[in-house]
Amino acid sequence: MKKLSTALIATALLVTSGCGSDDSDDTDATEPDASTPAPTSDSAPTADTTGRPPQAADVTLVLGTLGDDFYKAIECGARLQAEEMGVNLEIQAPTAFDATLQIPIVNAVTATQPDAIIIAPNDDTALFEPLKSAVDAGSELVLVDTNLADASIAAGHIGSDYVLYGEQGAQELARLIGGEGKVLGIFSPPGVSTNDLGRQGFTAEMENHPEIEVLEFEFSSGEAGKSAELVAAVLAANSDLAGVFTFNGGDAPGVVTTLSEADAADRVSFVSGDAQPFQVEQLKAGDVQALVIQQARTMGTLAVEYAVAAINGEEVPDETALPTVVGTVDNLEEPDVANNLYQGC
Amino acid sequence: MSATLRGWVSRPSVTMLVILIGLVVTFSVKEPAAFPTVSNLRGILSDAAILLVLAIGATFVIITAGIDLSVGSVLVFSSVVGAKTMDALGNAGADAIVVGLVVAAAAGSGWGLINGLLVAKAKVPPFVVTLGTLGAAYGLSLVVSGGLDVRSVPKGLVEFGNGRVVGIPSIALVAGAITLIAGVVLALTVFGRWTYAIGSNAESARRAGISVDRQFVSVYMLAGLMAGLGGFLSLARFGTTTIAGNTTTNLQVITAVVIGGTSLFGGKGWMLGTAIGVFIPIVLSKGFIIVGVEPYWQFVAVGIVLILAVLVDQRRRLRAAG
Repeated sequence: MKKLSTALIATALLVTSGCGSDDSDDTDATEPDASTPAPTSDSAPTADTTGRPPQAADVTLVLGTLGDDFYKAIECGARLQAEEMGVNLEIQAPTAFDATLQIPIVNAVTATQPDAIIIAPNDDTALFEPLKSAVDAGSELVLVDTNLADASIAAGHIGSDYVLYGEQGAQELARLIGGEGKVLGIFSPPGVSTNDLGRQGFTAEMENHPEIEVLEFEFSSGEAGKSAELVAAVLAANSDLAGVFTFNGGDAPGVVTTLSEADAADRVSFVSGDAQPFQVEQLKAGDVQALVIQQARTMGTLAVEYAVAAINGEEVPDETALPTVVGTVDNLEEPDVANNLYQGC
Repeated sequence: MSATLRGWVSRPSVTMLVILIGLVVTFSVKEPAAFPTVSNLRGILSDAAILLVLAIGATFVIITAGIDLSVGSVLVFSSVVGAKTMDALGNAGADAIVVGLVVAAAAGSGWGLINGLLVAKAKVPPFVVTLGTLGAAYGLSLVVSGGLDVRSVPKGLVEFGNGRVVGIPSIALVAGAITLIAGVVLALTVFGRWTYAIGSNAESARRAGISVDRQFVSVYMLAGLMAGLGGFLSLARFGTTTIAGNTTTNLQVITAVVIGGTSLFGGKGWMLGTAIGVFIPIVLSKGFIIVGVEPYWQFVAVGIVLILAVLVDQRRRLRAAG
């Protein structure tokens, strides 16, 4: 029995140290920087005026969730930029878009005392205290995609121009339906700031098209099952529906399914936000006629740039809203669109 | 003497304690500047606190050979009604906070009562009952909150939840105190003995004059109460409800209890083991992040430790059976 326990313990320790040693090249390289700033920055974080060369900077990027193509695109932009600037970039992410999973990660990252943290916070309130601790411990903070309710602790936030996002969605839809008919907009429920701004933009643009009747907005947060139900119900009540816009790419499969089930795909135009790989396929197949795309990769690039600037004590803009771009099957190959499709690298 | 010693060593919680210490030492040697630091220790304690409170309840339930899958949803529900209550009371003053605490605890206990009655009286398997209440509690949280997180939490509560007493995170102190009390109740009181008894063999416990049904109901209520307290602590820590969160909390809790050596077959379990079981996954994930291992590996490692714990438990059973 004793032998067994010992063997098992040995295995467990082996497993953990084994995983670690895979990365030993990495960690060996970072150890000197990790250990040098610790004693001085603890006692006097502002005394570091000499400014270490930017190539020594340690930056950790905490994404909104693992396995999401939008965040993979942000990661890609950040990685490329980090390589170019000689920044040592670490990537972390929770397994789901869940503040209770992201906070422990932030706490662990704080313990490594990186020079800067770039994060897409899972919650605008819950993440405040953990991130404040990181800032108090001397890390610079750059927010990307999602924001904090009180972003005063961050050097800056980089997101999209969500009003333009909604406007472009409305414009494309109006163009596709020839400026008249009934349209349905599907957004996240009120309270999600990005979607609220998008709704404003959508409504404002539709006022330029008097022949278009905008139906009551419906709400779904990127759940295909939910959006499928919604479109089916709206279609039942309005057989003359001319167009649908979904703000969240996650809602697109539900819309496509319902439209084809109802044999309505030919007479109902569909424009969606986002450009995940499956959406690009939908665009090529003609299931969706236009995509409104956020410049995810540029967000990652800028975030690293800002992080390095903040580390060097330079000013960065508090708020950066990148314009969205419209992708159709005709311009899919153009660099503006091709570079911004949501995918890793 | 040596038999006692051997019995002690073969307790899975001791095996796991050795593993926990081994992990801490390994990570400390690998990352001496980042891992063995006060700020990392505080982070580990804060992250463990709420899980620990939930795991206490789950330890009692699993000792009765039951299971409670609903704790994450009950936590969310309790935090929603607690936050709504405090909001209605103007979000100010100690009285609002106390009423919020009582409401959250009562809401949690209420779900526990439902679980317990269905398990004990209606004889529905605990897996099914708590799978049902998992969905129901989550759904009602959405109904009560309208699907939006309640973000107005009294400032004083959030200050407490993120504050420290003598350098230790206050929610970790609260969790530690609750663990201590629960450990004493389990090990030294009639309530604890009856919990073991109905978990070993409910029929013989009944013949021995234990009111088995009542004990089952009390144990599930205790788990609900802990989820309610967990919900309140979560409000204090995050300053908001986390409706979309806590999706894997129930599995994390069960993993911790099983790693700690509490047997899924019932009748065996230790509160100290549960505490160790809560810390192993947290230390692993913290260590991996600090060392810079890809996040995916955490799940592999926690999975291996979990299976290891059950293996040790089975060996022990086989040996005990002769």
